[in-house]
This record gives sequence, structure tokens and C-alpha cells, in this order.
Amino acid sequence: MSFLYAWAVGLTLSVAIPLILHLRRRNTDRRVAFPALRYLSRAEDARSRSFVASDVLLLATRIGLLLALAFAAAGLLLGRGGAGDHDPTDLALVIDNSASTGRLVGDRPLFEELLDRARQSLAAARPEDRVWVFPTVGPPVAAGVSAVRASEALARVTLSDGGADLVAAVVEASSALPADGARTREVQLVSDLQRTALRGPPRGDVDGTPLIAYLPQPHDEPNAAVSAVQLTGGTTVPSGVGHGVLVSTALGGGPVDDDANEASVRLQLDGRIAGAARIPWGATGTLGLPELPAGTHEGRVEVDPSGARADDIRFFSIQVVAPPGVRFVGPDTSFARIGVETLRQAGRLGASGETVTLVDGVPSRGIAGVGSAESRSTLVLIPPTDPVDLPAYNQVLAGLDIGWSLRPDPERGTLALEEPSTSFSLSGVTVRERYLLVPGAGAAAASDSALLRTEDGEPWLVRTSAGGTVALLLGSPLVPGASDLPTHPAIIPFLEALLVQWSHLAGWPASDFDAGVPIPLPSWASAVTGPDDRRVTVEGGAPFTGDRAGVYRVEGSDPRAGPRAAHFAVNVPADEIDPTLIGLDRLAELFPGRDVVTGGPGAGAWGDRVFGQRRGRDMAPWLLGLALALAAVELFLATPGRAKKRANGSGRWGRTAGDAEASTGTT
Amino acid sequence: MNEPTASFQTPLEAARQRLDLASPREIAGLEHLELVARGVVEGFLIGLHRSPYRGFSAEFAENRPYNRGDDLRYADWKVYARSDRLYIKQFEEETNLRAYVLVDVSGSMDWVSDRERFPTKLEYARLLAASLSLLLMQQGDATGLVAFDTSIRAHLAPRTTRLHWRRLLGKLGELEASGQTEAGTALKDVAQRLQRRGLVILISDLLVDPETTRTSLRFLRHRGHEVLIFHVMDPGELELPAAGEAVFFDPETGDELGTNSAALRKQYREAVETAIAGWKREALRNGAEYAFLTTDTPLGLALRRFFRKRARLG
Repeated sequence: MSFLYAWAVGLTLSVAIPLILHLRRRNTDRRVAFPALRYLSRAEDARSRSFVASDVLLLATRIGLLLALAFAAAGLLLGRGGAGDHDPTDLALVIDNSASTGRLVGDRPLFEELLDRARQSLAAARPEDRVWVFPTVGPPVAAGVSAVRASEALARVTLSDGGADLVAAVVEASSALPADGARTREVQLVSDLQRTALRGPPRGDVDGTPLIAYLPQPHDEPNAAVSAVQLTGGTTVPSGVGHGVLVSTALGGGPVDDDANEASVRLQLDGRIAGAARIPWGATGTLGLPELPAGTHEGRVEVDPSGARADDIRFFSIQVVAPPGVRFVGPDTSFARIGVETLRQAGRLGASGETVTLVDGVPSRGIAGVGSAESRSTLVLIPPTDPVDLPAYNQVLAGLDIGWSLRPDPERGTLALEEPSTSFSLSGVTVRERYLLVPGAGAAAASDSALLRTEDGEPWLVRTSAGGTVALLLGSPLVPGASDLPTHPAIIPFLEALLVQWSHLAGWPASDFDAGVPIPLPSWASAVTGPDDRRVTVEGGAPFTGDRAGVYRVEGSDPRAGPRAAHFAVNVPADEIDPTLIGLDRLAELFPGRDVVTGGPGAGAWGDRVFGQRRGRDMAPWLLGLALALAAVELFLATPGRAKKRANGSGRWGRTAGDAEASTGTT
Repeated sequence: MNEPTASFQTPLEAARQRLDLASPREIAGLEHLELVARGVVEGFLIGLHRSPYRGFSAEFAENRPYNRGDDLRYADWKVYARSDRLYIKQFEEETNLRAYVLVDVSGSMDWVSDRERFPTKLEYARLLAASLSLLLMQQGDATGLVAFDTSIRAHLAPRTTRLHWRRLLGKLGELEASGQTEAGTALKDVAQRLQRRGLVILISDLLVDPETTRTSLRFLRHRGHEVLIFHVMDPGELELPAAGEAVFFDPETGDELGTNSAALRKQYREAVETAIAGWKREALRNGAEYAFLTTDTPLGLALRRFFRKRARLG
């Protein structure tokens, strides 16, 4: 309660009135003639000598009566009625169902507490309110419905393994509310206020809808997790070659126990323990994979349960294929040829076959030198060293129905390459000469992607498909004058990735995915089976969102290659590991232009904050009841009739004509 | 066929059936103090089933008609033989008892808590004094009257004649309540006037200075007088008025006390009980009679107390 309201102050100060009257004991309005004043005076003296509980009770009753009335009336003035005393409101309820809310608070997951708070808000909603419900992972489940319907929709929200972008969720929720100005608008964020889920630059809203955020109990123990799992050979590896798994651990939030500063990591492959290691928290270690037969294999790396269970496990899928055969078209002195021979001698490529055709420069026989369409499956095209040959090169591309062309780059300078999403590093590699990869009409389809870019964002390695042919286009020739790559140790891993992982054998997926994030499915996909064996029909090329961590299987049919299948892993995003709460100042900074209020932990604090635009109580019923009860007590204590009734009843001094004789005193 | 009969009685006739047991408020509203007092006394005597009309000396004075309960030893059979009417011989009394009725006429005696139900204490005292004096004189005792507040307001020396009683009634009817109370003065004055052993009847609400009054009572007893105290209170004085928070003032002294009556009821009752018990104890200690009356007590009951006392005096 605030005492900024003069009326409330006045009402409260009125409590002093009975105190003053009591202390002065004077009522000059009423004068009663009473000859036996001497007896009354003796009675007064007797009372003043002893504690008179009834007198104090009368005083307390009057003070209580005035206080009850004052606070009951102040409810209207102070505007802080119960949560149910609010104007008609459009409420956007954002419920955080990300993986981090799975951490245990006491003996139950935080997510259940968040659901309780959401239900509490809906219980306080009035019939005329409209409610939108937005899970942070997954689509909205209710839009503009009554609180009852919203409660039903809320029951369908389940804990996911996905990550939350709370800022985006709040902005989305705000924008969903109608902006007709006739109703109060409010966004309630029921989340763990995880610092890493509230990222990005401040997001000011044009409408300034107030945000009421639940503040949960801060975590009191660190959260152990497997933060990353990376296959050293990529998700698609040739058979017969040893590989490993790079495992990174993390301990999010809270102090590290010195006695347990190492994580006990276990590796499972196809449901069987395949390895174990102790890795310091926050470090990365390697666990070797056994030699695997060709086929798809599912694996998981896990640490002991702690905090949120979902991030204690990380899944992966590895596809073991026969080494692809590579046909090289180009000059004998090409660095690319040397690299291919090296890989072949190391057994990383097939000894024969024409699975991948690597073309360095312009083929001497033009498009015919590349081979027939039936014989080629994947093309890797390295541009010519001399820009003079560029038109002929572009003609070859056009002849292959590749919708891309190369153009000289007059602004070229020394540029670094962005790190690839594979196991090798291109750190230190710079590009001095390049061509601009320009998509033509019909190019840049959904299946086209830039696998590598220079630091200025221009594509440097593009994967495209045309006429059933997958083509990888490089932006620079593999010569020392054009880039550091030919003389860099990364040339061999780069060529291997180019020929094995980025070729059609490993076209999809290149890595695992985060839960809750849309995944672009391959064009041939028609169905996806989740880790819970639930199979859903999908449309090829359409995004798919897996909200459960695990290994998924995608099936479909390629018009040229027939039935196909692939596996991909979905894991808890690394941002979900650290349960540290965001600072409240930072929270306000993220939402400039709107009132940000936090309430919690617990139902009481949350109930005080939700529906902040309250109109005050009509009148607190219990306060009025209390006032009436106190008034009755006051009447009983102070009203003259009480004693009269007693005197006429069984009191000692009561007398009538009939019993007068018996009661007449004498000596 | 019996005709319906109607009984027509004046209020006085109705009250005289047993005025001694009637409500004091009813008979105080009647005029003719003489008739009322007679009615009260006669009713009281009828209740005793014997007549007090007998003299104490042998000198004949006059005859009067026979009343039921008269002692037939004093019937005038000669007159009965001549007139066939029965008369009782009355004798000039030679009383050895002189009585004074002291009536408090201070301002507090004029107070009444409920005018519809009770007479004022003065009205009650007036009726009681008239009845007592009649009863005394019918027994042959010379009876006088003293009305007092802080001083003697009216004085009538003791006599036994009927004319004297009427004069006494006249004095009683003239009394008005006013001023404060000083019973000690009146009691000492009476003590000076009573040369022989006598009876002093004090009718007062005893809202007086206790110490002075006790001293005077002891003085009277020391002089050999018998003392009978009628302590008259209004029923509304026994219980604190239901006034809530108010300023209470004494109409007699003008003293004020602001308080909450609801908070003092218990203490007030205890104070009144203590005061009554104190007067009773003081009377007992000094050999006086004490009778507590409220203004709703039928007068016959008060007379009964007196009659017992008078009988003991002989």
C-alpha cells in the first residue's frame, strides 16, 4: 500500500479519534442528571485502580472498526485489489517449456511450478478477458480465447528439449495482442529467466505492453551437462577408418565442487557401452570410436544426472559408407590431384569408381570432358586460375544446367574464411583471389546452400543441384597465389570433406541439430520417425522441428536414386545448460519502452503482480464483515441496553412489586 | 335473566381496596393526601387482622363508629342500646412516646428515573410520612414533623390530635425539594427538642455526609431515643443509567463526572452495595433500625417494618 493517497492517509489517521476520546474520557454532548453521583465517583475510582479489560477491548474494537473501514475504503483508492479485480484484459501468457525448466526445484521440476503459476494467472482472469498462450518451444496453443479454454490449451504444453529465446517470445506475444486500445494489454512471462535465454540486443516494442515476469527460486547447485559432441570424421565417414568423438562438458551455474571437478563421461553406441572417460568440467576430450561396419549408427554421450536431466545426454548419429571413388579431371600438376592421391593412398577414398568427379579448371574437352549425365553423381568444380578462362568455365556450368556463374571480383583483397561446421579448422587460411559466385535465374533453390563463406559474407563454397546432379562450386582456384589453402595442413581434411562429407554421400545432414529449431529436410524426405518411434509425414524440403532430444530417422524417395533414408540427431541447445538467472536490470534493459515487473518466487508474490492494471476492490468482503463484527462488539460493550437487560433479569438489584417484600432490606 | 352489572369506582375507591399494597406511583398521583394515608393505614391494619384503635389511658374522650377488628371491650353498649348502633369509646390518651418524622427535602429527593413507573423520592417520603404519622397518632403517640435539607425547612411539634395530623399533612403537601442535604443538623436539632425518650424516624435517600450523620445518630441513641431509618432510593439509582458515554451531574451539588456508564456498571453496583451495607452496619452498631426501600416498594411493606419496631417499643 502506498501512502501517496491523501484520502487513505486521512482515513488511517482517523484511528486516532477513538484514542483521543478514550484518553480524554469526555463526551460533552450528553449530560445526564444523576443524584447518586457519589456512588458513580466511587465506581470510577475503583475502576481506575484496576485494569479494565472491557474498556481496553472497547478501545481496541473501535480502533479496529475504523481500521477495517479505512482499509476497505482504501481498496478503491489504492487500486490494488485482488488479481481478479482488473479491467478487461488481453493477456499473452508466455510459458517457458524449454529444456532448462526441467531442472528440479525441491522434488519437482521447475516446469511444473511454472505451469502452476500460469494456471494461477488464468484462475485470476475474468470472464471478459481474452488469453493467448505461447510456449517458448512450439507454436501458440491458444489465441484470443477465454481463460477456461486457455487452461485446457495449457494442459497440452509439455516440457521440451528445445531452447528458448525469451525476448523473441515476448515480442511475438506482444505483437499478437490486438491493438485496438479498448482493453488493457499485458504479457506474462512464466519462465526460469535463464540468462542465456534472454539474449540479443534490446527489443523495444511499439506498444509498450507491460511485461510481468515470474522470478523463480534461484538455483542452488551447478548443472552438469554434455555441452557438445563432435565426430572427428563428420557425420558421414568412410568405412575402415578410425574416428573419434570430441566431447565437451560444462558445469553451468553454481560453484564447482573441488572433489568432483571431473566429469564421468560414458559413450554408448547402438545401445552398448563403447567407451568411458573422465574429463574436467569445461574441457573437451576425445573418445575413440571402434571400427564400424557400413550403415547408420546411433550413439549417445552422457554424464551423471545433475540439474536438468535433458542436457546430461547428447545424441549423435554416424553414417559409415564405403569410401567414394573419385575421378579427377584437370592438369597433372594440380594440387587437387595430389590431395586426391594422398587420400586414396590413405584408404580414405575408393580405389576406383566414379562416384565423385573433381574438375579443376576448364576441361579440355568442354562439357564432354566431365562425362555423361548418367555416369556422374556429384561434381566438384574448381574454377580456373586464369580469369581469361572464366567465360569458358561459365559455359561449362551452363552446359551442366548449374544455375550459378562466376564473375571476377575487382574488389578482392585478402580475406579469411569462416570456420566450417565440420571437424577440421580453417583458421589462418586467407583468400587472396576469388570469383564471385552469382546465382542465376532459377538458382538459389531451397536445396542450395553456401557451405563456406569469406569473412565479408560472400559465398565461397556452394552446394547446388540441378538435373539430379549435385555440384559443389568453389570460389577460388586451389593454387598458392589464390589462397593459403593448397599449402596449408587443412588442405587434406578440406578435400576429404569436399569429396566425402559435402558430396552427395554426405549431403545431409552435416551435423546434429538443436531441439526446437526448424530443420530443413532434404527434398526427398516424406516421413520422419522420432526417438519415441512416432512417425510423422513431412513434405520434402519443408522445415521440421524436433522438440525431443534423440536420433531421428528421415525417409523418402529420390527420383533418381530411389528410396533413401538418413538419420539426424537432435540435442538440447548449449544455451540451456547454464541456469543462472538474468539480472533484473538487464531484464529491463532488454525491453525498453515497457514496464517490466517481476513477481516471485511463490504463488503469493506472483499473485500480487499479475494483472497489474487493477481497478481496486469493489470492497473487500472480509473487511466489511470484520467491520460489522466489530460494530456489533462495540454496540455490545458500549450500548446502554446491555446493563438494563441484565438489571431487569436476574440481576441482584432487579425488583418487582411481587417480590419487593422479600427483597426489602432491614437489620 | 340477569342484567349485566357495571362497577363504577373512582380511582380512590379502587385504590383504597388495598392501598397499602398498591403501586406507590399510582397512589402518589391521587389527590387528598389525608384519604390516601388513611387508606394505606387501614389497608395495612386490615392485613394485620386486628385493630390498633385502642387507647392507652382511661379518660373517655369521644365515640366513633365501630370498625371491623375493633376490640369489643371498648364498645359503648349504652349507645348501642339506645340507637342500635355500635360505637367504640375513645379515650384521651396519655402517651409517653413522642415521635418525630424527619423528611429529607434536598434536591436529590426530587429525582426520578422513570416518571411513568415511579414517584419521586420526595413523593414517596411524603406518603410514607403521612401514613406513619397517622399510624402513630392512632396509637396515641404524639407525632411531629421536621423537613430539612441543609437546615430545618419546616417544623411541627409533636401532638396527638386529629387536627394536628391534618396540619402535618398540610406541611407535607407544601414541601418542595431543593438545596443540598445536611442530615446531621436536623438530627441534632430534633435531639435538642425531644426532652423525653422518643422515636425518631428518618426518611431520606441518605445522599448525605456519612460521618456527620453517623455522629448525629449516635448522639440520638446516646440520649435514649429510638431511631428508625428509611433509606429510600429510586430503582434507577441501583443500576447505572444506560447512558453510554456521558457527563453525569449531581442536580443537588452540580458536580460533574464524565465517564462511560457501560464500563462502570459492575463497579457502580458494588459501590451501591457497599454504601447500603455500610448504613445497615452503622445502624446495627448504634442500635437503630434500618430499612431499605425503593420507590416502587408498596407502602404497606414499609409500615410493616415500622409496626414491628413500634411493637417492640410498647
